[in-house]
Amino acid sequence: MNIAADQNQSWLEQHTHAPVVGQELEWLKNLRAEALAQFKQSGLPGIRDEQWRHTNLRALKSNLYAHSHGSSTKVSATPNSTTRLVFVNGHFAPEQSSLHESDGITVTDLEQGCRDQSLHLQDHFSSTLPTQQHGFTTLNTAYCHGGYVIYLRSGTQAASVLEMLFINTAQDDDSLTNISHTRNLVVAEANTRCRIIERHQGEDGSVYLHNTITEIIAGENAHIDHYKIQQDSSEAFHIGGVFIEQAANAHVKSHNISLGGLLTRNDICCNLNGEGGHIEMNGLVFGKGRQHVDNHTQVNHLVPHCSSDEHYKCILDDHSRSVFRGRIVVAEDAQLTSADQQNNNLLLSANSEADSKPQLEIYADDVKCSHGATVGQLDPKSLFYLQSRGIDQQSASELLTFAFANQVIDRLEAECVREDLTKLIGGALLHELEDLL
Amino acid sequence: MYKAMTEVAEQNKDLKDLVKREYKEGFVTEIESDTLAPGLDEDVVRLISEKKGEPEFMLEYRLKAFRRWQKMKEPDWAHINYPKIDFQAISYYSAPKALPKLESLDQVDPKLLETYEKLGIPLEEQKMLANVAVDAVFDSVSVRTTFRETLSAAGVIFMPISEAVHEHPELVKKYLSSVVPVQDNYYAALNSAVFSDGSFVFIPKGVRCPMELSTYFRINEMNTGQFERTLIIAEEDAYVSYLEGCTAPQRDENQLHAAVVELIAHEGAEIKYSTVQNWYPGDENGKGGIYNFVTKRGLCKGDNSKISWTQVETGSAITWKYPSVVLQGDNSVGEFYSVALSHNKQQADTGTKMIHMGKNTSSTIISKGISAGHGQNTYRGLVKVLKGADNARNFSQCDSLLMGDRCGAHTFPYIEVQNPSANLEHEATTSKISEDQLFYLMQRGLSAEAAVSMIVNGFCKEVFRELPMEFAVEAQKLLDISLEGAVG
Repeated sequence: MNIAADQNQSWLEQHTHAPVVGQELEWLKNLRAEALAQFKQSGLPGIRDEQWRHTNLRALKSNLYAHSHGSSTKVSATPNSTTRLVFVNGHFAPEQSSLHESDGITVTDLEQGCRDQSLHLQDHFSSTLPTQQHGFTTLNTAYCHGGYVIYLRSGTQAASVLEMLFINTAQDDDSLTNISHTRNLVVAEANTRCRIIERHQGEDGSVYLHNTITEIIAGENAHIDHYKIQQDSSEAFHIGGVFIEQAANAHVKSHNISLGGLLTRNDICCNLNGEGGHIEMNGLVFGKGRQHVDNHTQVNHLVPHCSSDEHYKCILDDHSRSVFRGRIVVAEDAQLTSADQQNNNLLLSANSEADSKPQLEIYADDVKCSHGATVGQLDPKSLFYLQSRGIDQQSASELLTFAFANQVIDRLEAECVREDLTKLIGGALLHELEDLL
Repeated sequence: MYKAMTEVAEQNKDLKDLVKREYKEGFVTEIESDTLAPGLDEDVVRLISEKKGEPEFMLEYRLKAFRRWQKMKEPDWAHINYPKIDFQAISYYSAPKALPKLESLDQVDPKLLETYEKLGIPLEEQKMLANVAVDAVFDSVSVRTTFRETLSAAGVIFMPISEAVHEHPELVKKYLSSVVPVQDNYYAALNSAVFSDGSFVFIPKGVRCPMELSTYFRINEMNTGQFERTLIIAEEDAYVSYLEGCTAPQRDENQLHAAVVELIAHEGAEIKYSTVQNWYPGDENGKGGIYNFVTKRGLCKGDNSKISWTQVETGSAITWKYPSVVLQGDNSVGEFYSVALSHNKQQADTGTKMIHMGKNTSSTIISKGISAGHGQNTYRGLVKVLKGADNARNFSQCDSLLMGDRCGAHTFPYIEVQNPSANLEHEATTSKISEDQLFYLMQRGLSAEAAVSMIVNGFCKEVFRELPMEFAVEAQKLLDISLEGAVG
């Protein structure tokens, strides 16, 4: 008990020099104080917590963390889009970003956003978070120092993809580990549309902890596509949250692709608050080395006539491990709900592990809900068939693995993401095939 | 099956009159009994052991369990709500007074026999034709065991565990708590400390038990908890099918039932364990009823062994029960078939655990949950494949049927796989009775009740067909009765 208390105290001490934003704003100060009080009570989660049973945080907790106060790291990648915001170690890098401000659409960083009184962020900040939050979420509220804000006024559409790039680096001092807390807000008023691609990257081999939360508030008939593509360093810790609130007839798609990071944890939670809402959740995990990826999703059907559709696929090689927990809750009176959830796991190596917990919690009777989960390996018959056609075993297995992943990739509408993933997972063979065709 | 269906449909003609029917088994038998004052401490544990004249090793076992239990915390992870149980307000021992040694039926207290007759238990001669040996547990002490002679000729030991402690201490010592350790969970520890009786079955090598074995549990005294303990051992290539049925009288306060069942199957052995649980579920406002916290676990110890659990859970205010199979031997097989019904304010959190350890092991889980009224039904299960369990195979199917808009159906499966050669599938669906099906049956002349009954029986068919014949018929009737008034 005492060790845990000491640990939490030391965590707070490591945050004493945290570079928080918006200190002059009274509402934000209150929110932060509240979150801090909550953290002091709960502390960081451990494997004794049911929601963290399969994810051991010992390695994460053993590091000594420090904040980085901005960095001069340059981004080499060319932007895919005209609007791109870059965050280095959680700090907004304006010189590398191209902001967007057009009729009714504001895309800016957290600090500007909070100061801009016309956006009324105090009504939205932390409004999507559940009452029961784990320690990383409360820490994020208490210490977030960067992130993006997207505000769509009623009836507007973003002309191009909004790209958000998060880059993290290691500390210069080896004894310290870099930590950053970012908070992103997407507020879409009625009849709006936009596509957001959030990329998380880091120099390979660097150690850091990135704790990031995205809040999405979708108004009536808003259509929002959110991509989260995580390609962090293979030694990095990534703790993420995407929290979505949907009004009537809002359609949100949350795509969650986990490729990098040593330890990744994502909490994706959606509340369907208005009739006719639809949420699509897609997830793809490609684990290698000693990667550990833990995805927790929750869809709350609170009103009638909503639908949800969820597909999570995990490919696990080497010593990697995936944890999936998906919960669908259908509240009392949320009749005529249609909910489907699938989780498929492909184990490629003898040392990989898959844990799956698909859950249904249903309090209404006129509903159609189903979930399915499978764990298996590549079908030996299909492998044999391909080999009998002259394809070597390695390529055959790559091809079948790609086919497995492609069921999720196919569901992604953003072409640039689809292409990237095809290249990454399809491997060399697919290129050869494409040349032939 | 078809015949049974029409029979059920016919019976349902009268169902409307029965809608307000009360719990059929809710009578109290007035027999003087020897009941301990409520409360639990080491002295009570010693007293229980003393009353039963147990050997020293049992007392030590109980005390060890009791000390562990004192340090443990009541689990709260299940999806159920109930007021905190005061473990000091429960009496931990109750036995019909002055237990005589009995040779024939005539010597049994006629009031007791009457009770069983009301329950329709095949204890009487005429019912012996049904070829069922019954080890009836009345509150805590086994009253009599029928067919023991026939069984012992075959080499089968079937007796109350309190006698087995004296007659076969070496077997009890060897196997008791070898599958469910005393510290396994809160209720198992409590049971280990205070269990009063239960059944002991031992099937020797190569023997196929000549008849189906059956026990009947009944909680009679007020404020007593029933803590029975069952231990079944099947040696190499042995086979046994064991049936268990439960009822309790109707009372306003809640009663506790915390049982432990352990099964051990050696190489090539097969154990089939069937339960029809019909404890008093409480009234429509959720008053009274049994709290049923049960630990059941089987160990497929040897290669090619098989354990199969079949349960029909229609009673109890709260059910907390996860019959499990540990598949240790290579090629071993585990099965779980369950129908759980929760009506009125009943809550059921039930499911299974399949732990794959040996190579080429396979398990099947078929769970059917029915929720009606304000009932809450939860399936919670774990399928775990350990590293060495090559070619493990599991198929799980959990279907829920909802009747009424105030009930709930929940599914919480856990799948943990550490071996890539494993093949696991889990599917679950939740739906209500379709209007089309109802309409079709009603236009064929069935009443709404009969139509619902037929659909529900069809929904549960996969499980019922795993039950022994007499039990299957009883289970169907039970389901109909329990669902009375659920359609409106």
